Amino acid sequence: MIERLITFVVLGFFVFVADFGNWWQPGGLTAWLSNFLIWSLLIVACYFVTRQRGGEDQ
Amino acid sequence: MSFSLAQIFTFSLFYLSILFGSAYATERGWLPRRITHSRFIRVVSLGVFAGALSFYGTLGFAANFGSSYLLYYFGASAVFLLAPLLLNPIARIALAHKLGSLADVFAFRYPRPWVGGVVSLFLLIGAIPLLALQIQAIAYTVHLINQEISRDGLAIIFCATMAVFAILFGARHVSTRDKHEGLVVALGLESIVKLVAFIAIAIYAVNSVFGSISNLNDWLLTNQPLQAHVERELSEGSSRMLLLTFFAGVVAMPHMFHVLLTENDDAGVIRSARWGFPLYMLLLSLCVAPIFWAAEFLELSSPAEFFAISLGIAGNSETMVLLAFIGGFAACSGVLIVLTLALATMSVNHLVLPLYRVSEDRDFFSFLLNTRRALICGIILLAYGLYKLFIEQQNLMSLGLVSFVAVLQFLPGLVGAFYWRDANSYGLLAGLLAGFLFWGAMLFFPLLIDIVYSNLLGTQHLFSPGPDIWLVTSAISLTANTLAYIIFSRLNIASHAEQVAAAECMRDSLILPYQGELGVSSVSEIRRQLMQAIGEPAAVAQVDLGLNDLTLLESEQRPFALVQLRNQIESNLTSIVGQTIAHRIFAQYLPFRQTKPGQAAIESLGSREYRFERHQSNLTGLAAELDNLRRYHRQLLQDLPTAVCTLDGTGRILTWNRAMIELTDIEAESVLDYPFQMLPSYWVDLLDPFIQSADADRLKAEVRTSEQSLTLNLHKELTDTGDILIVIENITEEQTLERQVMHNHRLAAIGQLAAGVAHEVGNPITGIACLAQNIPIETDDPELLEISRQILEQTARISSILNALISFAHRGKEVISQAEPVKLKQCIDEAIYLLSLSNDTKGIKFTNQVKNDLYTPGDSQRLLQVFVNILSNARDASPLQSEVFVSGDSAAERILIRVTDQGHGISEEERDAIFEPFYTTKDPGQGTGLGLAIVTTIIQEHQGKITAEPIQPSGTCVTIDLPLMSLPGADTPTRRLTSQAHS
Repeated sequence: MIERLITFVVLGFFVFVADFGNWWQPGGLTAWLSNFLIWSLLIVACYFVTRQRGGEDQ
Repeated sequence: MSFSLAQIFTFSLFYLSILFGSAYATERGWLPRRITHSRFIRVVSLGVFAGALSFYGTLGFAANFGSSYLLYYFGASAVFLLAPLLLNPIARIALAHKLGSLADVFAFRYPRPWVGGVVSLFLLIGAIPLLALQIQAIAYTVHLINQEISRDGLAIIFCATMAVFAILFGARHVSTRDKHEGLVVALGLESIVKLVAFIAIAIYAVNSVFGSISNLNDWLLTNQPLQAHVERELSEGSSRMLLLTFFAGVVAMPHMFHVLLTENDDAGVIRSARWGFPLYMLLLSLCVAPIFWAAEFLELSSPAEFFAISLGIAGNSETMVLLAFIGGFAACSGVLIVLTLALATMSVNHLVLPLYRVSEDRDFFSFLLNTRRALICGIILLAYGLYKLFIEQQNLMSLGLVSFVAVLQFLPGLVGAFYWRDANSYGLLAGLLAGFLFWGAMLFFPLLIDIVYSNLLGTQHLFSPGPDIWLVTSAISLTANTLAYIIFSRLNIASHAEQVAAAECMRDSLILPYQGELGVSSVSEIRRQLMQAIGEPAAVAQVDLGLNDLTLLESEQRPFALVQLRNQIESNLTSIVGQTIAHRIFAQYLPFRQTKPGQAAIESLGSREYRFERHQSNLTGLAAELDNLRRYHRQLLQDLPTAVCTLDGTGRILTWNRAMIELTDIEAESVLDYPFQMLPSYWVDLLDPFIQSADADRLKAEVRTSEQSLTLNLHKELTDTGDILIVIENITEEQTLERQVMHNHRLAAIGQLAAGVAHEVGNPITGIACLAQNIPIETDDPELLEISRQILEQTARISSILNALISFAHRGKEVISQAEPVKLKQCIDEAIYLLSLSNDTKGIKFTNQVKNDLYTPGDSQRLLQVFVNILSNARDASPLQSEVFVSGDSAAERILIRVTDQGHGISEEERDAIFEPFYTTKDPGQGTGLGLAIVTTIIQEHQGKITAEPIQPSGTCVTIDLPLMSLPGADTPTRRLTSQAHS
């Protein structure tokens, strides 16, 4: 489930890459940092997936 | 601010000494293994990807395209975030087959002799600009902090140092099996240094330039026009293309493959890198914007790429300048070293070896190492040459993109390798040619020509690789590449080898490649064949290594084991010379006999099992279900309590289940695929006639192994495939029990006969005795009196024999209902006393050393009878004036009484026979042969057993085993025997 979510979000980023780029333009630091929020969540998700699945994905 | 040459030299030397020192200390084992081999170090070492482009180039990219610089970091991270889609399949194949480079992966999936060479050549051409870029970045950085230093001279020193490091720590081992731990640790250190430096500069930018985060925030909110001015966002299509380009960069760049898969064989590192590498890139990308904003705030005039170092210069902070210099140095040197190493290895394996044949008398491995080292120098020299052309070019990202667009061309072939079964080498070649044609025509050659032209004439650049040109080039070249790849793959049919490789690469494959049978029949033949290709020393070393890896013996002859060995050596050799050469050597010198589809049945079961096990993880869906079913049935056969083995038509053993292992004490691995004639001779003598005979069964066959005698029932069945199924029942225990029952019946019959005879003979004997007693009353004739005495003496003897017969006949019928604790020492003392009353003591000394506290439940009178009998036998067997020794001890609720004499001992045959009725070793007339039979009966009634064995140098030891009765107080019985004695 998490694996599919990660794939979906990353591929979604690829499709809507321009919208993600425009996201932080108008704001200050908060808007800029929000760019990294989804990225950070993806990293956390990957961390849990690799911990749960162990060697399964190899 | 300006640093002197001495200062720059000192900084560089300090950093390099740490770099060399860490690598050397790791190689020497001075650093703790838990650090040098930690996953943290290995994951962090992947930060080598972040070279000059990451440290410098992204700042320039941010200046030109605003937030699009994130595409560089996120595109690279996406490879790991989406690892199950592409990275894991590549890693699976690379680790399983010890593929040391991307060219090896392509050569494995598209097995044509030229594939590895084409891929290597294109990678070499594509990656050289990235190498030149690193040199340029370092040279320009130094120029920024000291305009007087010659950039060329510094670039030469930098290149030479990196070449020395690469040779010393990256080209020490000929095989990629042997990892360069020092190199990995040094790369990990470099990655940490540049990350720390970048973060420190970002913190400096916020704290020293803006004063605080809130000031930065205020500045950002109040300077929207400025921010909008510098951020010319890329179009949607351009952004996607850029993301794809950097994604391909991580997958296809040789240095990433080298660190991730060549210098690492731990799948756990790849799992950890899935989140570790994106985190590393995230931290780096977080620093770019603050540095850029600070530079904008200070309105720095230097090129945007070098804002990281300009910031320190503008703020007059020597520490920041030094940090930026060291960070940039680490970033550039890491890429330069690893990329050069990877390209050199690839070039040797796929460009040099296919063209140059090493003579047999030359040391093959030395040649490889020396060529690799020479190529390291050559490639760095080439990069330096290109740097000389690029010296005026300062747009690092644009130049870096030339390389990234080049490696993007490998993406279609790589994706197709794992997701398209029909993809073939013609499609790959067509795609690469089309892609590189557009790349060369639109990007590389115009840039090269322009630089040469402008350098020679000193004019302005006519061609500037701006965003439009490389985006258009990457879009067109990738489209042309993909179309050509698909069309040519469709137009050509994949070869058998390609289908086999595709099956191996695709997880959902239902095809399990069968390679055929080897044309050699021994390990020495394999060695001889290999010698022709790589010379004697290398062949000997590789065969020994393969045998060691598989724990096989030199005497190995099983066809399937030889196939395993051949594949293992090929795999090991692949890690040295690459896939193409290794495949060519084995295809030429150790080829498989090609079989037609209908002939697949000749493949041995062991070979099939081996292939199934190798591909187990590849099976999904129906194939996985069928495999599970196969495993279930196989396990059933393995767990059968009856011994089963099957032989093929030639007598080769195909299956050998667990019961068979227990029966024969021979492991399955040592017999499978061998002819059954190699079994120990007693098994061959049993099986051979049975296999040859027309009988389907052979009952109660006797076989005497080295350890025991077995009675077996054999059954055989000829299967439809011509194999012979042999089922062996071990009936040894049943047979022993049967013999015991028959023996008991025989003894019972003897007992009944004896009782009858005793009864019938007893009465006349009594009459004779009475009459004989009357003779002294009737006469005084001394002769008659003597006759009367002899008659009485003989009748007494007959009565004694009859009593013994009756006693034996009643054996097993006695019930010890009132068992009392019998003190064995006392009982034996009494027996010795009774024997001492006899006239026939022979001067024998009895020594009773039985412990005082040994009690057994039973009948003291009957046990007295036992000891009198045994001690008298010992006395009779002993020589004059010798000693009979009685000892007794207890262990585990049992008492062991040992009666040892110094007589002539007993033979092996007598050991059991002496306890049989009517068996005696005494002279005729001296014994009835019933004494020990009765003793046995009494002992069995006491739930004990009796054995006899010879002792050295001479004598016999009779051991009586009786139950121990525990008494809390001396001579106080606390337990009564409740169970009835059994015969």
